[in-house]
Amino acid sequence: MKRILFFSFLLLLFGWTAQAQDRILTGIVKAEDGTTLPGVSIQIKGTSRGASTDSEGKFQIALPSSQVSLVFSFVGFESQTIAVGNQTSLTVTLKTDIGQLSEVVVTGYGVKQVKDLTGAISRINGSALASLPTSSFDKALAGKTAGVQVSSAGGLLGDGVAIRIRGINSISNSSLPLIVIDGVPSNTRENLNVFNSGNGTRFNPLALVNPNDIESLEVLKDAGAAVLYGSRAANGVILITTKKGKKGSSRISVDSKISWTQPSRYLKLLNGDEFNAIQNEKSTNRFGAASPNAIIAKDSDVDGDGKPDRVNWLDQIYRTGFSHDNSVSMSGGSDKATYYGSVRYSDQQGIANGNRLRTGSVRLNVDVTPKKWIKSGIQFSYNKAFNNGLLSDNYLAGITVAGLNALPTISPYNSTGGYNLTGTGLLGLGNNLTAVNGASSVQNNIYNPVAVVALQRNDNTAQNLVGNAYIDIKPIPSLTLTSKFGIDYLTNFEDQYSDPTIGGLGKSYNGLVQDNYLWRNLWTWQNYANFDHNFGNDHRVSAGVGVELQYTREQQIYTGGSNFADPFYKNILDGLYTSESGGTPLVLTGGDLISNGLRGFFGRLAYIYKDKYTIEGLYRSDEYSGFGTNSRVGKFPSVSAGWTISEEDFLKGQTHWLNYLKLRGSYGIVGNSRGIGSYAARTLYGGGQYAILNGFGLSQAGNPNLRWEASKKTNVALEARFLDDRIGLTAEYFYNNITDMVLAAPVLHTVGIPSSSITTNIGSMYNRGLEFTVNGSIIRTKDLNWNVTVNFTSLKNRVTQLTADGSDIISGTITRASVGRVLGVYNTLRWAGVDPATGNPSWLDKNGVRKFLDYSTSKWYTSDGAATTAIGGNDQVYIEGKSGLPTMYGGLTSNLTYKGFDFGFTFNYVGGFYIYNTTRSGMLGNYLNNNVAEIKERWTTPGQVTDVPRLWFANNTANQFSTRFLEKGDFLRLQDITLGYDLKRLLGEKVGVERIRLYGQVYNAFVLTKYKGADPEINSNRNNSNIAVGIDNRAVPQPRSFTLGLSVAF
Amino acid sequence: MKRTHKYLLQIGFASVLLAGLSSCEKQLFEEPYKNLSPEQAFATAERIEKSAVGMYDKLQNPEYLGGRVLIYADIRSIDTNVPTFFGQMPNFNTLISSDATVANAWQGGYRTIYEANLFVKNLDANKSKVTDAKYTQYVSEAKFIRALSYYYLVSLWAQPYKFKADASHPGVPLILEAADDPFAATNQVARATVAQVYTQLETDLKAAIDGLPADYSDANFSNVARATKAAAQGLLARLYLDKGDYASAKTYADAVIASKKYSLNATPDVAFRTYTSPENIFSVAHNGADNPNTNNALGQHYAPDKRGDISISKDYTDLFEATDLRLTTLTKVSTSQTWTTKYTSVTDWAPILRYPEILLIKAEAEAQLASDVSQTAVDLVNQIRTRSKATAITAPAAKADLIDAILKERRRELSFEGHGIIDFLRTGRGIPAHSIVGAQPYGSNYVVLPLPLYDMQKNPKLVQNDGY
Repeated sequence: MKRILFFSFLLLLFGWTAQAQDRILTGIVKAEDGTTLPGVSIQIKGTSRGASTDSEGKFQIALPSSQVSLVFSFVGFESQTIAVGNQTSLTVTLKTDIGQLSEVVVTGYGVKQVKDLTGAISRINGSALASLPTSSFDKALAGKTAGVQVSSAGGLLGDGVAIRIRGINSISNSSLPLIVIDGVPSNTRENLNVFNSGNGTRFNPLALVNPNDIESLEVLKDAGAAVLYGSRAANGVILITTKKGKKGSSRISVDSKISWTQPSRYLKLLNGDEFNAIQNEKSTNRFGAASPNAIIAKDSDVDGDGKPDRVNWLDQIYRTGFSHDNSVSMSGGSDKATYYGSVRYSDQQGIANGNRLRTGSVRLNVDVTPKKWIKSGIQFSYNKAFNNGLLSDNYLAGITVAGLNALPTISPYNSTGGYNLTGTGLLGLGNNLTAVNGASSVQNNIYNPVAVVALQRNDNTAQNLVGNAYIDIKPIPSLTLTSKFGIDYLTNFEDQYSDPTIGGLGKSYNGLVQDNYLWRNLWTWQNYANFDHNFGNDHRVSAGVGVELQYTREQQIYTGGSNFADPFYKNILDGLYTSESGGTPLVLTGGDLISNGLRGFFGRLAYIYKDKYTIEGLYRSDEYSGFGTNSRVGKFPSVSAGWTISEEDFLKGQTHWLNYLKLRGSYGIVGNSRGIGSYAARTLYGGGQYAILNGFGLSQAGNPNLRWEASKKTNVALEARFLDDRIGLTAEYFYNNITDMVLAAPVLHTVGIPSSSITTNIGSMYNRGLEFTVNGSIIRTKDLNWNVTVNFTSLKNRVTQLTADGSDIISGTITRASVGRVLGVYNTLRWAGVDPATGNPSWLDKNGVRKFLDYSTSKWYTSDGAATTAIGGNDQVYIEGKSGLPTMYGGLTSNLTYKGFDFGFTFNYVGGFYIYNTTRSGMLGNYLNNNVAEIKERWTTPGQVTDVPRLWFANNTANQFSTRFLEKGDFLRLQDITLGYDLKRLLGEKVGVERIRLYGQVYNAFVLTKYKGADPEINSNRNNSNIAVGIDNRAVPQPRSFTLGLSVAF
Repeated sequence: MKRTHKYLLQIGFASVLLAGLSSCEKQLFEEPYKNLSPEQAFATAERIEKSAVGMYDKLQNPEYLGGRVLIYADIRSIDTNVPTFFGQMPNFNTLISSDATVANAWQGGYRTIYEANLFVKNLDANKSKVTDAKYTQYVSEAKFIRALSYYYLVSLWAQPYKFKADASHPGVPLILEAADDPFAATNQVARATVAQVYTQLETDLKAAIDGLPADYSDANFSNVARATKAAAQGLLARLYLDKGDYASAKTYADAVIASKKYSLNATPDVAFRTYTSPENIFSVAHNGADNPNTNNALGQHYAPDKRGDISISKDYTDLFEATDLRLTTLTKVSTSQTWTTKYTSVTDWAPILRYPEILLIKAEAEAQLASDVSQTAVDLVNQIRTRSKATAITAPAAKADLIDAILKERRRELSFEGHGIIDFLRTGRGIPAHSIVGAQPYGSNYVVLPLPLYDMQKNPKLVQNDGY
């Protein structure tokens, strides 16, 4: 009914206007990809008369009888002028405006026109992220834009992602950027889970964001762009803008995809026969063939099938995961109001058995403009995720340690079909010799990973309510007053169950449930005024002032139950557990409560002359409760300028090949407070309970002078576009000089303060480098379009100052921050290879003298056979220039469209970094456990040249930290490759849909690397470690996904 | 008219904002919910009492006297099998100075010492708030805690007292005052000699004996869980035994016996089930609400139905006759290995001083002091043995044999309570070969732990132990 009324109204309108006209032209306006464009403005050149396209991209315009030209214009597209002869219909295709000059970008506390930009901002379209099958959108940023490096900690769902904008910009604080969603800074928790000190199963709250809702993502990289975020801007800022409805349109989109996911690479392990031979060589070498201990590995028939057990444990822990992801969005609007709403449900299965993540989201964005001078809106989303996590990496009971160590001659099941478990809840080792002379032949307990996954629980349920409401008032056209109130309310229920048949907690406590409930409320209130006014034709002033208040409060309640009435009960249920251990009641409750506040004032003033020269000054001051009473307020200024050279008379219109040239630069100081505790500056007494007595004890040694890390950022950039805008180039130089770095400054252990450190501003470091982005519109024809974007970043990091005594900050045993060196430089022993004569391992001591270890005597000798002292901690040296921190990275994105087909791919390259392969060192061990296939190259006969020493039972000296396991990590990954087709081309208009795109995609199609581990993109020390960044300790490899997707738009 | 409305609205809007802003500010910056400032923690007598208790909380350090330091003394001896859980700790030659387990233990010891020193410093500044009697008691408790912590530091990181005649070989740095500036160069303290460390411990313990109560009138907890006169006397007796000052060792052992507060339990397992039994003199208490990170608990390490990192050796079980209750009730066989059952739960207290040790200290002192074979010593040993249904010994022919018997009895009675390697070294014996670990002769560099590389690099005054 409404629709009829609407058309009647249109008819009336045209009926009236038609009287004054001679003829009617109808037509349709489309984008290059064939989608119709609503709201395109059409103007008869030289007049004020015009029309605009309707919700289906169609238009109708009355024209005078004479020949006229029509100007079609639309935000984000190049304007097009078309001469109209006497035709009565017209199809117009608008090209995307490569320069996007007329477009606005979201900046801090407002928007800006692209042409006014003086800071370094990269923009990524949400559609580039939404299609990838990653568990959180941040992971999909890899390779997409210059200056941004994204790496995953491992291949488990919901695991953290390290986003590093122009390098690591902190040592002890977090180096993750601030993420702002629709103007509301989101909470800075990187991991919602707290059990196992947060290192067990991990859950990144960004996995809660529905990537389909992201319209665009802006990365603010320099001070000029980010300074309004003051104390939080040093690591860069990522602004996420969610979708809004478009005026004059209504649309429903359905996106559906299914994926199959597998590990991309497997480690090569020994099979059962090889295993037996290798293990027995270890023991025979040591004890002699005649010893009763010569044979430690023996075939077993644990599963009772009458044959010796043979198991590929990797098949037991990994699988092909199946996932589906469905979302529906609806959007539209009129002149007075727009809306966007969406729902999503996704169910992802990880590559590891038992790993599964289910996410549901709803969103509603509404903007209302009742009068020209007032506008108001709300953006609101609720997201919930249920994650079945797993222990992996460093955990003995984790799937990777257990799965890699487990003996390939032992079945996971026993003869009755139950799990193969010992009385102590470990993997039963059948006939293998578990102890030699009373010493365990197994170095670390080997768990049954199949039973661990099947019987235990590491779940969490996260919920997030993110929303904001704003009101904009324009008392005069050039002034906008904004008040915005936002909340980010996050809860997480973490639920861990340890089964009584599994060793460790479950066995110890006869079943243990541990639950933690965390809730974190963050509210932000921003009030700001923006002023933008032209004085005459040549002068423009843009200014703003504002205030921001932010408050965060986080509370946790922990509880547990143990000694359950029956293994049937796996939850805390009244009357079904006693919670005692050895007759003593266990108190399994606890809690935590913190709060912090931030108050900031900011202002900016820009002057633009003739769109040619821009100069802008920005300032913010911030006060944060975590800092010392002596230095709670931080001041953050920046100044930036831009010069559009192509607007100068000497260039304008002078060259055909150069369309645009701009030089811009900025300098400013921004701060980093991410990772600073709520009360970091204070000396604190905390709980000092002594069994039944209450007490107080020192929990933190404070520093009243603690303040922000100051990052002095310089940025100089040149932007150019050539050859009819076919080629765009941006080159940027950046220099981030970070001073007053907050370090957990190490104090002598003998001083005795808590954690032997005090948070202090003492370090300095710089990151400098170059970024290049080249966009090429290689083919631009009606049917065929091919765009390629290449980005490349080179990065040099040096630590310039640390603690007063100049000593290093050591993290992760072998990685350090050291003055004059790259952050994360390795400091370890130098491996000197295997003596071909004896098979003994050797290292260099600190003076470069080669020392050999004689396995049979446990004595050390030099090359001439003379006895010498042992290689020890003093012989560790810097492995100069080698760190887990990349020195270059980049990406290549190609998109090709031909008629209804689209074909795209993204390569991601990361280079110049080294990984410490702890997986390999652990898997070459000399105890009874499975080994990597490399062990087959072990020394066996005099004269043999190899890098794997002679096997020697129970001696792992050759596997101690040394350059033997330090490997180049450089890799080139085909991140994604997609082929799509718009079926509407086949089905024609009559199907009644706007678009029906079917696509297939391979994510992580292949990786080229010399790294010997499962995947070079790894960090077992989580996403927020700054020094120990290149450690692979049995992480789960990156998945490879095959996706089939369907997008339908109505 | 319409325009007026618009401005009114805007003014109203602005006023609401301003009002809102000022009310929000109060809420932005809050005091911590879970912490007190040092001033607050010493503000009243009641809070000072709780801050004194806090010293014991630090004594529970999970890397140190929460139990692990006792383990390190035992796994470097021969009564346990060689565990793999503690890295190279039990392996002597392959242990290096960057070993994390070693560094954590060292750090844990000094952390405990700092808390005791800091407590005394803060207490002195607030002396007027407590009675003189309480002041003396608190300072004495601090001295006992400090002395106890130093005892294990000097025992594990330095060669034994008698290694050099005048004990002038390096001990550990003596830190007797909480640093005001943790970064000051004055914190770079050189190692005191072993003699200096022992002298300091004697001074502290003697002061503690004077200032500590005989008990706290709290038989179910504080009498054992907090420092008492007997605890200080017992530790001092142990110290004198190390020094070879047998007369003094006997004096202080006698003082504990004379207090008549302690006696042997009917059976040897009672002390490990009832933590405040008559033979428990001092233990580091734990319970179900407060234990050193369940991963580090003695029960977790020793009990086969817990993580079971440490099984016990045939060397140890071979010491017993079949009827000995210490074999039958304090060990068990599970999954083809033998385990101690002294610790069965993550809530077990860490036993530091038990009455049997006092009797055995006295026995050893008597045996050493006597010119021939001491019958008193034989009787003392038999007191221990008969309680456990072991056959009483008869006086051996030679003094040396008696001493040997006493040392064996110490192993039977006190194993897994942190005496292992210390007893071998203080009596001038090396560590015999055991399991797959080779023998370490007396005087070997590797019988003492390396000073952590971390401290070596930061403190130029430190001298590393030989061999590392």
